[in-house]
Amino acid sequence: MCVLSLISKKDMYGFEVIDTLAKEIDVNENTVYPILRRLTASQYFETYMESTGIAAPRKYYRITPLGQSKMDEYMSEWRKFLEGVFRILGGIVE
Amino acid sequence: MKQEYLAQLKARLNDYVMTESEIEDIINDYDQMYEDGLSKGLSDKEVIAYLGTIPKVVRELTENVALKEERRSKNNNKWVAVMPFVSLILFFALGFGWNLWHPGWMVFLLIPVVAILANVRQNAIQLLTALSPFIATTSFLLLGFYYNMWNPGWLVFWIIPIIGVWNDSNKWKAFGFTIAALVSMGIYLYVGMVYGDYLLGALGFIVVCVYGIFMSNFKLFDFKNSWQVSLTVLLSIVIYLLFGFLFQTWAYMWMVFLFIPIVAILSHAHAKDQLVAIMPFISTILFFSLGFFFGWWSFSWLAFLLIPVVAILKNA
Repeated sequence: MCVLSLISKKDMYGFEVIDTLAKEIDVNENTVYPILRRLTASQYFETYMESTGIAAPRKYYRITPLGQSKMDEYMSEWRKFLEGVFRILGGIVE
Repeated sequence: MKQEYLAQLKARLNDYVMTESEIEDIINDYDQMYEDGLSKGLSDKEVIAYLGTIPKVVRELTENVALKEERRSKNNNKWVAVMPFVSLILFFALGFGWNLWHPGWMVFLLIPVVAILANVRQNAIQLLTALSPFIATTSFLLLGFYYNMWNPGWLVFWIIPIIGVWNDSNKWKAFGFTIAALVSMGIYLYVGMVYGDYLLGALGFIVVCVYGIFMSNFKLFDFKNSWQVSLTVLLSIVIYLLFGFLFQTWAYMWMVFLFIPIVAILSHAHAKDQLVAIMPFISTILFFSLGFFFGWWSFSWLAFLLIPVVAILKNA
């Protein structure tokens, strides 16, 4: 869901996704690329190549309408889950 | 370091059921991510820590592919399990239908052959190498039983090392070995047939032995890395010829040649795979020994049941 969310905000390349996630959460980095591949195979992402000047062109990931609706579904489930947790533990739900 | 990482990744992915373009796509992506890591100022070690070590990456990438392999293997094992019964039906049909009990019993050799076909998933040369002991055994027995050519019929066992060396990446050396083996066999046959002295003709095998020792990086005579196999090859030739000439044991001493693949498997295969891999050879030795020495052909074929039984027990 984090990968879906990141790419829904901005098209990103593989290493950028790993780097961004690793900075924010304690994630097992080597699982990120396989997740990207699985989500692309499920047609939640599409890829395109973009030139980077002298270096080889990079593969970027862009969320598809199917990916967007899946992410909305996950987000809704996640919020419901959090609401439940907060109700039990106490806390603020936005 | 990057090239090494990518080459290792590619080699490991090749073990799985994946298309060439799928693997290329993954390698290109890792190539790109590796470069991105380096351009961010990370060291090779840090980049690898970021992307993941090869075993971890392969495990993640082949999660579903591994299941396909397992399913394929299960389907193949069904064939291995059913072959003893198929062979038995064929054996009875040949025996009762056409009174071909002999050489109808040879259909039981189909059991190890199918086991090999079901489990060797490599290239044609490797498949042929695995099948060569059975091709040689069948040819040898037909030559022996029908034409009484136990000697020099045993020379067909030379196809085992000859096909085996073609697995070597250096094809010129393999070619050289093939020529040396053919020259040795030529001398043996010429001296044996023209002068009637096969014992003297056996000196012709000095040619292939000398060649093998000089080219010691060969699997056949690789004394440094595989001395057990080399020793078995030499010993089996010496034992076969010695006992053949001294005690006329041509018709059954050929079984010593089956120790070549057995020792090769014990030297190179993983411990957990060894027993299953050597069972086709053990079964053949049991089957032939019980039949030949005690005349128990009618039920010595049961020895071939050991192949699926051991495979099933190992996977249980």
